[in-house]
Amino acid sequence: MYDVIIIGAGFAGYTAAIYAARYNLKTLVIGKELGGMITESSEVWNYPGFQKISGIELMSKFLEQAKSLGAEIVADDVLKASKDNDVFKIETRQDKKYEAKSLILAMGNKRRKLEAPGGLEFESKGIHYCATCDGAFYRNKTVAVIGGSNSAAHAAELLSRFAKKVYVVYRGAALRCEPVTHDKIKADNKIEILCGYNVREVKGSQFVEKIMLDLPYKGSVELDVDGIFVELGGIPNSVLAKELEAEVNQNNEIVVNANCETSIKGVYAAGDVTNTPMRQGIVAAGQGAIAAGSAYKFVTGKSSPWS
Amino acid sequence: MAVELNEDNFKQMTSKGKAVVDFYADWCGPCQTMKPIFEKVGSELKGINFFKVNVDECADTSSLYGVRSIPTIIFMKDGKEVERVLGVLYEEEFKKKVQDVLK
Repeated sequence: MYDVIIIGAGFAGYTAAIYAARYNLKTLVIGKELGGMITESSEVWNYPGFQKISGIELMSKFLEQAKSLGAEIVADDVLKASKDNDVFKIETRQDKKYEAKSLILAMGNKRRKLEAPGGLEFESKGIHYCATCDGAFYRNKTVAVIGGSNSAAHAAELLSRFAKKVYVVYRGAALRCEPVTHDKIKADNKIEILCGYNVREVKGSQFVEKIMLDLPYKGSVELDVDGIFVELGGIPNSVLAKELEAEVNQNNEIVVNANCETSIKGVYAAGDVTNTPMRQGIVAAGQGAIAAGSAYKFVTGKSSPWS
Repeated sequence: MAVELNEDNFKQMTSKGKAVVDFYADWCGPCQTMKPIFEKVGSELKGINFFKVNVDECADTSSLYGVRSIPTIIFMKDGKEVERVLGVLYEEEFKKKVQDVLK
């Protein structure tokens, strides 16, 4: 029996583990992907203490710190969470079962999929969800980024280092990205931005070959591409919270208060899966620390030394 | 430790017996999750060779095997691919997969 099981291994999960371990709580972190979404960022420029660091390197430091303090960390996917009297029960994809006195939910976001016909069929056959992971396979090829967010703009910028041509296809009237990034991609002559277009279908044989647009672009609804990078944002990964009957709002975010308490006693949440005001690593880490303090109070009956 | 292969020795090293090859890169997030799992299972299962290929350093081998997304794990018998898995497998499922595919 663990004092606390933390589900998710990103900024929020690891920070919660670091604090929980130092409270001498028996702590387990279960992460679907160790390091979480930031490991897809090749460069992090705004995490204090590091002028510039890759997401992978930053998260490996978090992991080592949590481990060295005594937290156990496993890579696995939690499929089920339930409450039986005062015990929380967890079941994973590998058929492992764990029990804990408290839970911290830090599952972050999951990627929104491309729903147009062909979107699922060509996944990993030319349709990708991580430009830093798979971008380099498109050296001298033509690719399209679907989406208009800051992540989409970053993906386009990264892909233009490899690809000979990068289309950005966005349904909105103008990209929604940081001004610095917008200036950069507008000035990049390999990048062509198509605003006001939707992807109607993805076509190909073995691999992706073309995108069918809803409106003609330069006289044709067909856009020949070798690869497609989908950047349609994330949806909070809050299914487990719903199973536990914790309150989730209309945006699928787990509702927490300033102490990172959910509506269920003994269940805390932190990071991008919550109704956080800002989806950033530094904020998630802060919430992880708060959630660990609340779990400590719940498990031991003592208040955190920092509150 | 899984043995790191290069463009020159890939064919020869995988030509005989059972092999599991992890195509990875240092900049790939999911590969970091797979790495310790691959090493651990590799040290537990005897009679099977566990190899890794850095796709940055082995562009030709990666493209020959049509690797377009990483991690890609390729299972081989006597130099021939018998199956592949894209993305992360966790410890127990990876172990089971290796045993099933290369029994």
